[in-house]
Amino acid sequence: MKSLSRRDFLKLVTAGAASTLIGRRLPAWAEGQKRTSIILVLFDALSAKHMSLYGYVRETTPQMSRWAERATVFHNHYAAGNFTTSGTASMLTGMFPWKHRAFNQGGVIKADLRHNNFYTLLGNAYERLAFSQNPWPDRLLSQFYHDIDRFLPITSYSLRGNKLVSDKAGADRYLASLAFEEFLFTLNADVMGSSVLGYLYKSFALDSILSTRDQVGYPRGAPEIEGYTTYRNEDVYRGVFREIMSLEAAGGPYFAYFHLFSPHFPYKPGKKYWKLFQDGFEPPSKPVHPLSPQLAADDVLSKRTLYDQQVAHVDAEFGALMDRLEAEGILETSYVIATSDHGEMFERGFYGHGGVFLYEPVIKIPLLVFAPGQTHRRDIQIPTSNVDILPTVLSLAGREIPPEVDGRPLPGLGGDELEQRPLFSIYAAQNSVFLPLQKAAIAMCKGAYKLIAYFGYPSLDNGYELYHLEDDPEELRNLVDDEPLVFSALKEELLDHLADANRPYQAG
Amino acid sequence: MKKLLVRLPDSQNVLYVYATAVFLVYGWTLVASFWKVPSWLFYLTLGEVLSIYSYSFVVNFLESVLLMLPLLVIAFILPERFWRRHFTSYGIVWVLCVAGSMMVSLYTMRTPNVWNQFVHSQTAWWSGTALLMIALGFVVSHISWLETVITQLADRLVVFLYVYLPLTAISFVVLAVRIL
Repeated sequence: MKSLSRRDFLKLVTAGAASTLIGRRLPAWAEGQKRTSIILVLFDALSAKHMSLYGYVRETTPQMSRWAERATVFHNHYAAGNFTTSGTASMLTGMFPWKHRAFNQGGVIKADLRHNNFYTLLGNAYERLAFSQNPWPDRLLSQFYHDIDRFLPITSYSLRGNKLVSDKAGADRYLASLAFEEFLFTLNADVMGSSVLGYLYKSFALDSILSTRDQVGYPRGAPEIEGYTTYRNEDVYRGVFREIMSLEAAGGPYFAYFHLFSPHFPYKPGKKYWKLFQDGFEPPSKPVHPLSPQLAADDVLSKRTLYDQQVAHVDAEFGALMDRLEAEGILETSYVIATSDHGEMFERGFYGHGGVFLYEPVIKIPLLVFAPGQTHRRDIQIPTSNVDILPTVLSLAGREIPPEVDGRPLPGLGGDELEQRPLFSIYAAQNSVFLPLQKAAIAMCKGAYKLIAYFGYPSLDNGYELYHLEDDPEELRNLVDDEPLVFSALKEELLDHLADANRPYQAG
Repeated sequence: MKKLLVRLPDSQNVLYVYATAVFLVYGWTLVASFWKVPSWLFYLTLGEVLSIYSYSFVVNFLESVLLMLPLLVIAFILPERFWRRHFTSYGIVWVLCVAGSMMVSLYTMRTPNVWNQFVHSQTAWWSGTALLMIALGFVVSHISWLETVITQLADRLVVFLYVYLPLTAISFVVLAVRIL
């Protein structure tokens, strides 16, 4: 039997205490509604820093602002990773990437921790639906295949009607997706693993994708999941509504997770949105990061505007979805949780996500929780993380929270508002999951401070950045030299956690 | 039935052509996998990597059969003097041109910025391939030493069948266990 570390012991005690307190910590509207349905909507790559709901100067999210009046709004909510695989895996498992180990692009969750997920832990008392437009979360979800009752194909509600090969692989869908969509029949820049059938597949698939690119109402072409399919946001959101109605018709409580691709790159907003924000807006000037591709500021700014337009489109669709759910009375009986897996950044010579950067735009994400029948707004300012969503859902469902889970129930939804705890966002895509982390960027947010550490990047003169987010929300003043005591305390804490995370992978 | 089987080429000749097809399609996949293995080893266990190879070998087997089928159908339909007499050389030319054309196309037009070109150049591409096939077929059937060289080479490739086909059989079992 493995020995229990001090940290593990504290977590066990905390988890035990949390689960005993859950009953009386639930908000009033949740009392007596233990078997309400839960709808989790995730917008891929939606940055809180680009939402007017959170103070962005461009009016990108009027619908979410309207709906926020009836929600618990989390103002300092963080993704645990800066790209889809790590961010989503952390949300699904309630663990930070250095524990679940899905930190490579397209990676998978460590086998002995896979049981920590919504589907397995909620159990069959719920009808459980999974739908991801993004192939990487689909692969993660495939790892829970046996516990998912309705598993929609990636191409659902898209303009390419046919299924992917891996959809037919049943329980082996996650490995089949690697074999087919990322190797044998890959449509991206890699060499296709299959020559003859691959060629035929490519001919048919590309014909289908290219012929659906031109869509009325999309001046830049239909949004695209590159190498997979094209889609129109209105179709997808209508599909989401249809799936929810179908679950409602089944009668029992359900858990439904919708991982929706927009506003992820490539940004192709609909006609109503593509002329928005021609406003001469100039974001704060920030130094170009030495690890960035040093893109020109004009190029980055034009991409920012396209992204903001795409965000506005997503916001409108989400608002319409919420209106439909309200009209059907579903908001009276269900929780709706809206969040993202990571953000997007347009600064420091870089745009997008998935690089080494852990600045606020790429890890600060929205979180809105609509409780059944909630009529008033509640704002939560203390830092929270996407690893908290699983324990929150479990506590709402009256389930125990496994001790391996790093997150804890969200404040106002069964959790505590007082304690300061470290929250981590980790980029470690260039590491083996079987070895200690050697090349990584790690951000630790604690209270108002944020420490970013770069390990294994010798080209950086200084491997640490320290910011006070309340005084310096744009992360322009590195306080490493100005606040040495804070810096050394936070650095020690981060290194301590990293050492703990690496310990199981140390040789000997 | 016997009468029908007589219309098929000699089994040794079929074997030579099939060995060439197997060598090409399995070889392509193995070489392409070398780009992927380093990243797979970052996050997949050895068992999972081998399972991906199982998928690949099953697909390769289907591809090799797919390449052979048109040849056998043509040999079955056409009179002996048109096709069966030169089955090995014509077959190898067919396999080389069809699979080779697909491989060149996949390799040269693999990035998303040339997707349009890939789709729209199909007619020209396959017209060129057909012309090449006819020219090579003509040359091979009229230069006897070339035909001998091709047959000898194909004979050497038969050894790959002893490696790939048992691996394919194991792969079928592995996938049956994983999927069912």
